[in-house]
Amino acid sequence: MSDDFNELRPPEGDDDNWLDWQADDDAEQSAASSGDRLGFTGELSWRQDVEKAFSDQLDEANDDAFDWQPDTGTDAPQPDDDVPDWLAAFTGDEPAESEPAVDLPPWLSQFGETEPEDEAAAPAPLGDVPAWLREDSEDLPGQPVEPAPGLETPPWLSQFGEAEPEDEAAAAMPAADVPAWLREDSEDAPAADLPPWLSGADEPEAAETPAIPGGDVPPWLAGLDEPAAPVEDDDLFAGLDEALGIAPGSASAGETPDWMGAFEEPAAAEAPPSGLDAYLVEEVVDETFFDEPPADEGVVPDWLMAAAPDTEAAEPAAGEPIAGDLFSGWMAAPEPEEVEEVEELPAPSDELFPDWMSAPDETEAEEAPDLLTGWEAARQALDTADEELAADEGVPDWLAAAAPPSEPATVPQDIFGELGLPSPETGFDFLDNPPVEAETPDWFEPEAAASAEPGWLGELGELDLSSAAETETAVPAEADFLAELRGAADLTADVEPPPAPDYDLSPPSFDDLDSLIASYEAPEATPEYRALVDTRIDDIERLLSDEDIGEIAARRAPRVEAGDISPETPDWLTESGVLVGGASAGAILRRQTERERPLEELDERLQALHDRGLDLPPPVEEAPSPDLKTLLPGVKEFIAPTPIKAGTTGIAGEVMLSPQQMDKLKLLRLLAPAEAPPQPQVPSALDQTYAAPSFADLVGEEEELEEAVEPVPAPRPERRRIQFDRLLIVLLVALAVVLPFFVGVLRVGDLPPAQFAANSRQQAVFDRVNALAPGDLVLVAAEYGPTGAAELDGLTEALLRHMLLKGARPVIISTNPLGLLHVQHILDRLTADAVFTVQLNRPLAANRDFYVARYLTGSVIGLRAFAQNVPALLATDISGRATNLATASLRDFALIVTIAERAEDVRAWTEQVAPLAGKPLAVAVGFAAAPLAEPYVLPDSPEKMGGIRGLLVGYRDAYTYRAQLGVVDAVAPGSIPTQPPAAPPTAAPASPAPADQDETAVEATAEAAGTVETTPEAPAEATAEAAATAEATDTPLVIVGVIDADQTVNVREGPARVFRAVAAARPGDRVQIIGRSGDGDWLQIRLADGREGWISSGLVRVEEPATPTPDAGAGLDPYAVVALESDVRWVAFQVTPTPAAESTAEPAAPPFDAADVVTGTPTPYRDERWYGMTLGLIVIIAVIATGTVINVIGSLFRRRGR
Amino acid sequence: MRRLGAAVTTAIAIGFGLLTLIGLLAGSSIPLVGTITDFLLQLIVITTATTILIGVLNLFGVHLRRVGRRETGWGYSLLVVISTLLVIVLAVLERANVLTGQPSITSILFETVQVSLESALAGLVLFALVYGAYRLTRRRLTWPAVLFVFVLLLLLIGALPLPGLGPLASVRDWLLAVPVSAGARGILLGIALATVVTGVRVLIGQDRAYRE
Repeated sequence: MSDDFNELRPPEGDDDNWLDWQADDDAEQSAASSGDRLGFTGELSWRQDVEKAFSDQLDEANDDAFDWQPDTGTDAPQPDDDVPDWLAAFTGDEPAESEPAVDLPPWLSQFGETEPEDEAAAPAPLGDVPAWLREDSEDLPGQPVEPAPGLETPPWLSQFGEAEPEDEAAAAMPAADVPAWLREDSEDAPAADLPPWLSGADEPEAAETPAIPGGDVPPWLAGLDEPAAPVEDDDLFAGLDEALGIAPGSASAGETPDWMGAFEEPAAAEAPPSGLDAYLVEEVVDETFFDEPPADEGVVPDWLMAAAPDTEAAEPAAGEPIAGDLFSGWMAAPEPEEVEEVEELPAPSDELFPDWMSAPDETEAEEAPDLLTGWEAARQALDTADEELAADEGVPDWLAAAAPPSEPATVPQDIFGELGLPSPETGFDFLDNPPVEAETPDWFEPEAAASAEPGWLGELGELDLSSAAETETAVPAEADFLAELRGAADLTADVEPPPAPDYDLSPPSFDDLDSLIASYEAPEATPEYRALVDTRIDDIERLLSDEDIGEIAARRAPRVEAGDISPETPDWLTESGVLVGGASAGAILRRQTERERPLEELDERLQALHDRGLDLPPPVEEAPSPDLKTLLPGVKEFIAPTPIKAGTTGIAGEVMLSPQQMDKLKLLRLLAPAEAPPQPQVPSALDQTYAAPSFADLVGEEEELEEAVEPVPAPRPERRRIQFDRLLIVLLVALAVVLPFFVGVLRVGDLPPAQFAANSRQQAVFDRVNALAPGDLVLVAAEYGPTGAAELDGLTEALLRHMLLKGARPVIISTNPLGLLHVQHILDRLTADAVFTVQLNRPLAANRDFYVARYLTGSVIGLRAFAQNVPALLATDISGRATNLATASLRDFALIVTIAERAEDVRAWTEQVAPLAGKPLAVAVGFAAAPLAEPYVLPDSPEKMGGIRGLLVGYRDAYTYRAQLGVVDAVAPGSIPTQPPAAPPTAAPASPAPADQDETAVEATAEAAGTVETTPEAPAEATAEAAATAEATDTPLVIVGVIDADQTVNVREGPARVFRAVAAARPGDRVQIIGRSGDGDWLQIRLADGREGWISSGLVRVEEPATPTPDAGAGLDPYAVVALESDVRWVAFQVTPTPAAESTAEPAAPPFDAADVVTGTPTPYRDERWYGMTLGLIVIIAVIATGTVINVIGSLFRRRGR
Repeated sequence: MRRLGAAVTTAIAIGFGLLTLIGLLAGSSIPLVGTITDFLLQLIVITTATTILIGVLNLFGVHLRRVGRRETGWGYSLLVVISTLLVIVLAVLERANVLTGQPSITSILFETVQVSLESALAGLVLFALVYGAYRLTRRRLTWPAVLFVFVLLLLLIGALPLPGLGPLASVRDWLLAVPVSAGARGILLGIALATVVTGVRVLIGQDRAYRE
């Protein structure tokens, strides 16, 4: 046996239909199940359709699983679609495998002739046992359905119905338990009489199983289920047992019907042997047995009465039991050879035969006029019945349909003769009659059977398949039952010549694995008995054979846990673990072994199967999808739990779908995403806004929103794997930034230059601020928040310091409220700085020395509105106090400085404000906004154009700006107007005015303000030159250097070797040091002849100057001296006025960080911060370069690998 | 009626648009138009300010309700409510000259809490950017990625204040002055053209997004 069920997958060509449950049905059902029932009707009954479709599919799957219809390879319904397998056993497929052709009786061989396709049929699983068979095992009395009156029911069959009271039958077997087809066709189908005594064939050992109580069986048949019951002294088999030498205790016994009591009484009255066995023995051994007086009429069953010509002689005694194995025993004792075998059996062999197989004999017996009085009487009765059957009155319809028209010659002549029984010619002539088509029961007709679905199938279809989780393989548990049927048939056929029957009659048989395993546990089971049972293990193997499993597993029907079987399901079916949706031998064995047997005792393959079953995945309980639950309530149970695969076959539990079905399933899932994981509904800020009570009027449907914002616990975030490279990079960068604050050796690189380059954008800003006159209004836009504070605070503070030193009054506005607040904090800090106050020589006060005006709303439009109406928006400050600013327009501001974090702010100010101001802007931005600010920088500084005249970028420029700010002297407090600048005499135009008008207005404003501000058209250079000249007159030469070289050195035009030499200096020449390059490698010197140039700093030795004090001399620049003392590299420079200085050189730059030197309060950690930035930048470059190199190499290797 | 309403709204938009345009172009020459333009702009500013006020009140109300309903995270909402009330009270006291210290308490709170937190969070962007550049070429190696990393390294190296990197600094300056500036100008020109087109569409009634 192979455990690889994948090998059992049906051919690829059958994928489309092999599990298309509707394919076996009619076209209408197929269409309804495949497409229309899957949600395309658009009606609310969609769900019911789906459920029905699944139910139908389940039924069909059950059909497949039970192998009602063998795989014929065609979609057309076969005549034997609904023929139970127990009927299929008559098809004679068994000889095809294990034995040569068997000479079946004609009425049996007829089955094989009429249903040749059954040869390929696999034995049906135990679950295929029809309801009427199952009912026999229930507690309910297995009462046959009352046969319809008048019919073609053979007397011996109709007698069954008459034997029991009608009311008793009604009470014992509810109509609901009767298969539908049986109930509906009970009037026409004599087969309705079959079930009770067929149950004996199904479960010969059921007497040992509590699940099959004898109560289900008519009392007179209860003995069928009790083969191991103690045998009474007056047992029917006693005589036979004695004759055969069988121990009395081993014979089966049971209650006999009343009419069979005649067997006992006479036998008991006469002498042992008694009962039918005894009667048979007598038939074989002693013909005088038939000379016994007839039994009481009241005991003889009616069917015997009806069948017998002389019914009076066949009346059995009512209420007396009869051995259920009456006819089986009769069949089991055909010849002495077999009797000899039976002698050794602890269990009666008659259990191997279904009772109904004994029916011909029984019929024969009942045909006998006096079955109880002698064989001769029975023979005569059969003869009489033969004549009657010739008129087609006694043939069962369902048998008549299968029987050949007329083949009496094919009936083994001696089959009964060997048994000492009347031959078919004499006793079973009715079987030879041609079938009566009109009387064929509907259930036997393929078409009718399709519609008259047995009730037990309907019951199964109602079961919940969602609980099916374990994947099992359906195993035909009915195999033995069928085998027994076949064996019985073979036995019947092999009587003459008597080949060894295929089915071993010696060991105890079993119908299912349940009974087999239970046989081990039976208290009366002896070791010999168990050993005997073990010999039947071949049947188990056959049960689990690839062929059988393959037939079932290929269909892969859904299964149902035993606990899920409906209450109507017979107990024996439930307890045996038979899975309705696909009986699994593995499941059966596992359950049985888990409950009843240790695993070690099982066969190795069964243990493997057990282990494999345990390894199956547990049932998946899926949470109901809210979407599906809303859209299609209840449908999820049918869709979600069943794993569906396409094209692959595995252990059961999966539903195989064809591509077409998969397409439909995808569509269904699209419409009802059952498998979609529930998404957490996190309420957004907008939802909460709308859900606010204050917005109830605006929203209108508050309840819906409240439902929408119902808090849903956020899903637990997945634990992420630590990325060590990221962690390493973070640590490296962080250490690089922090360590320079504490470790001096890590302070690499040069500090920013102490002066902006001449004519640079940075220097332009400095010059414009430096040119402010006392009392000038400067509009400062603080367009940055805390995120840009680290980069821009230095620039803001430097610019404000510079403005305040020059006596100007900054007016702070912003479209960012945080920026406004932050600048206010900076101004508060400057106001509280005592040193700076001393430097200013005046205290600072809001709304006098500076104005923190207001926050401008509306972004660009707010800026435009401000530009259009400056006085209204500057009337009050941020605290609501009056500013007393007498501004009429933007032109009242001497300078507009924009400190922005974003390029959008630069663009807005440049486009909306600068044109109205009539002058370019000075802008300070971060590095991120610099690229987009560059295009607005006016290259030639046309003052009348709107744009950017000067640009400061980032911390580097802030550093340099503070350095240059050191040389700025605070204006005298007396020069600063105490009152805000008055409004210009002429109202400033609200819009840009022509150039001439603008100039006039500015000039008038300047004059009215009494400032020394130059006119707008005055070049900055001129202003700077004037300032430089003014400073130069007060500042002598401070730094003197001596050329320290072995030979004459070049003085170049610029601070690099690429510049041409403009002069030469000899060793020992004294020069004035007036500047220094940014990197400190070059010094700007002035020669004795007044020529200036650059020389390498290594060639100049700075002479030690006299240490001046800040107040030492009027002409001494103290800052430069101090700078030299602190760090020789930072050479301060001064403009030395020389008589020959005619050049219009750049104005003298202030010494390094003069303000800090003067005040003694340098910016804390200014240098350390710069070094930290430098080292961090180095590390960042290294990291990025390393990563890129690694990635490139890895990518190249991968490409090479491909 | 609906068509009439659409026509009216369109007429209002076009009319006020043209009026504002004329007022901005020649406000001083036509005082009346200039005054109307200023008035319209002030309306916008006032409306925007009102929306900010509504937003603040709504934010306060939302968190207050969360606290009242004990919803998830109501503790944080409680902190927000308390902070808001505290700052409002302090500002009122400062306005009333009850608290006259310098710097003001509100300014200290702002600098020590708001600015510090935002600056720290902004500093974390550095690590993300560096790691992003580090992994840029890991998943897929493309020429644009290589070019990007190359230029990035060049700019960073050119910004280093180390001796001997003068040529790289010159290259960096050139990159910023020419290619970068050209690209930025192109972007700004595109924005300007789009703004003009949008304005024209509104003025001629082609774009009526204001009705939505």
